[in-house]
Amino acid sequence: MKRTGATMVVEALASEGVRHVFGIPGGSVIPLYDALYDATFAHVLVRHEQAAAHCADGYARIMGRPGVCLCTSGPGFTNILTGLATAFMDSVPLVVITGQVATGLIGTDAFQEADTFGCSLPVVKHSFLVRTVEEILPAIKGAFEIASSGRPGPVVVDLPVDLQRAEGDFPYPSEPVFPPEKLRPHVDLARLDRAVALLESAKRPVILAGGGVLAARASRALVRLAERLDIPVATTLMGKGAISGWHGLSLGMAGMHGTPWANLALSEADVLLAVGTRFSDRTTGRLGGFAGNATVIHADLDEAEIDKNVRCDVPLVGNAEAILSELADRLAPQTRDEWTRTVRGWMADYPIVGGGDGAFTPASIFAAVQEAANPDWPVATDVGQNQMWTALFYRVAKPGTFLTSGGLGTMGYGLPAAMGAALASGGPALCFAGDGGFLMNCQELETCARYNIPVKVILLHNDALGMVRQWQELFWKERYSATVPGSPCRFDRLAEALGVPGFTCGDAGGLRAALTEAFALPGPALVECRIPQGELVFPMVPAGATLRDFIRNRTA
Amino acid sequence: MERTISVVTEKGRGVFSRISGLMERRGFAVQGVTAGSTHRPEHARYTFVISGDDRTAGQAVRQLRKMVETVSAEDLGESGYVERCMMLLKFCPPPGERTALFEAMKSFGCLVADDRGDSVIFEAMGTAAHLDACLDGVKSYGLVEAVKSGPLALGTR
Repeated sequence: MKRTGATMVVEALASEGVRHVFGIPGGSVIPLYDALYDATFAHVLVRHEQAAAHCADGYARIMGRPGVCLCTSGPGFTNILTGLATAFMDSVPLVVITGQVATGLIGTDAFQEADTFGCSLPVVKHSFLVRTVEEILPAIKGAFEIASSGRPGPVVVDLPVDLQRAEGDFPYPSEPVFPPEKLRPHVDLARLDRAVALLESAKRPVILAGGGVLAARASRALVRLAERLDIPVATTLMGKGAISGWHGLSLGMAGMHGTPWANLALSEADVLLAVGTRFSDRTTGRLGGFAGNATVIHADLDEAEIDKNVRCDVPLVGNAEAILSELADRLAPQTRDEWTRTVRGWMADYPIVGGGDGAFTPASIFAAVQEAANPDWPVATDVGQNQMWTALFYRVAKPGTFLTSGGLGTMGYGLPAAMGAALASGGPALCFAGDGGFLMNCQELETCARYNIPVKVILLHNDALGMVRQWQELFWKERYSATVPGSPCRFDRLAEALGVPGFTCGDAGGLRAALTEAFALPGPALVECRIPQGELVFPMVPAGATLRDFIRNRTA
Repeated sequence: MERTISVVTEKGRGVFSRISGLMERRGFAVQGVTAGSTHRPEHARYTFVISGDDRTAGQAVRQLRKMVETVSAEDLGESGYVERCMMLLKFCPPPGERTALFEAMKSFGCLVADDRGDSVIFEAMGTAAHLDACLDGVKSYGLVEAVKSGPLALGTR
C-alpha cells in the first residue's frame, strides 16, 4: 500500500516496539509530526532538543534498548548534538531522527540547513543521510540494529522533508538490514587460560567493574565471580550499581573522587581484573602509577579499548557476562582473609567524613533521601559536586538504575535523564542536581508538569559552580572567577512557576518534612536544599597525582 | 617509524569523511593516504601511512574495524607488503641541460608523459623512499612543480 515517508517512519518505530519518543517539531519535520498525530505510541514534547536526547538516553539506560528522539533541521539538530555526544561517550543506544531541508536544497545554505551528517560523525556510532524514499525503512531498521549491537551508541537518521512527503510502497524489512555477523564484535578469548591461572594464584586481586558490566546486564555474573573467589569489587563512575552498595565486597567507586579503600586496593593489587571499562583518566589518575603492582587482565567488548589507555597483560575481548561466567565456572571457591582484612582496615583508617555534627552537609542530605526514597527508584545526577556526592554517598541497590553523564560530563543532563528513566520504569525517579547544572535545562520542569512525570528533584543549592569553585579554592589561590554568581534565584518558586510543587529547606528537619510531602505527591516535585558554599568533595586525587595520593580534607 | 595500514570498506556515501575524520580526531599522524577501488566493484580500499609504533598501528586498525562499512583493516607491516607511489614532475630545463635531465630521469626509471620541448612532464613510480631520492636527484635540472601520490600497498601473503 502506498503511504508517505513520514507514515513509514511512524510505522517503523511502532514495529520496533517504541512506546515513547521525545522531541520538538519544526519546519523540516512537519510531515513527520503530522504522521505522529495518528501514532500508537506517545510523543513527549520537551522544551529544548538537548533534553530530548537526554530523555531518550535515560529511557534507554533503564530499558536496555534504544531510546528515540526527534528534532528539526539546523538549530534543532545543533541543539540535540550535545545529547548525542553524551550518549556516545557513555555507550547508550539512541535512534535520532533529524529533519533535513529538501534534497534539492541540500548544500545551498537553505533556511535552517546544517550539515547534520558531517557534524554528527565524531559523536555517533553511525549516521544515515536518506536520499530516496526507498532508503527510509532500511535506514530506520538499520539504525536500531547498529545502535543496540555490540558496544551500543547513538545513530542518526537524517531525513529530508520532501522524502517525508513522498509516497512509496515498501514493506518494513523482515530480515536484518545488516547481517548479524557484520555487527557482531570481534571476540578473542585466547588468553582465558592465563586469566584463570592469574586469578587462581592471586593474593591481592581486585575487580574493577565499568559501565560495560551494566550494558551487558552482567551484574549477577560479576557478583557470582566476586563471591566465589572472595575478591573485592571497585567500580568506575559508570559501573556504579554493578554490585549493590550494601554488598560486603563492594568498595564503592574508584578514581579522582573514589573511596580511599578502592583507590588503595587498586594500588596494592597484584592482579587487576578490569571488566567493561575504558580506563578513563578520571578513574586511573596518573597512568604511570595506576595499578602499579598488578598484572592487568582487561575484558572488554570493544577491542579498541585494549591497550588504548592502560597496557594490559591479558586481553579478553568479548561479552562481559560470558567472560565473568566462564571465569567463575573454571575457578574453585577461595577465601582470602588477609587481603579482605587489609581492605577493611583501610575503611576504618580513612573514613569519609560526611558531616554528622548537625550541620546541613551533603552527606546528611543523601542519608535522609536514602531513608525516605524507595531503593528501586532510578537515580539520575547532574554533573559536578552533586554528581560526585551522589556517587560517594547514595547507595544503589539495583544494577542499571544509576544514571550519570560519566564520559562527556554534560551539565543539564540530570533532569531530562530522570524524566526518561521515570517514563521507562513507570514510577518515580530521583534527580540530584546542583544549581549550576539545573539551570541549564530547568525548562524541563514544565514538561514534567504537563505529563505529570514523577521526577523528584533534590537540588543542592550552594549558589556556586561548585566543582570549579572547589578547584579554584584548592589549586587556584581562591580566585573565584565566575563561579559564585550571587544568584537571586528562588528555586521553589521557579518550580511553582513551571507547574511543579517546590519546597525549600536549610536544615535536616526541614528536609525530612519536605521529602515526606514531595515523595507523597503522585507527580513531580522539587526540593531545594540550601547548603553552605564551602562544602567540598572529598576524598580527592588531585589532577596528575596517582590514586594513592588522595587528600581527605582541606589540610591533608 | 612509519606504519602502513590498509582498510577495505564497502563503497558508499560518507565513508571517506567518516574514515578521514576518525584518523584525524583520534590523533593519528597521517603521512600519506590513497583512496581507490579494488577488484570488487562494491569495495573501496584506503591505504594510510602513519607515524607510530606497534601500539599506535594496532589502535588505528582496531578503531577502523569498528566502522560499520569496514570489511577489513590490517597493519601491513605485520606480514610484509609491496608499496608503490606515483609522482609527476614538470621541468623547464635550461638550454643545454635537456640531455642531462633525460639521463638523470632515466636512471630513476622515469618515463616521459608529455614533452613540449621547452616543458617536459615525467612520470615516476616506486616506493616513497625511491621517489624522494628521485626528486632530490633531479630538482636542480629546472624543476617547476612535482606531485607525489600517497601509497598503494598489497600484503605479500
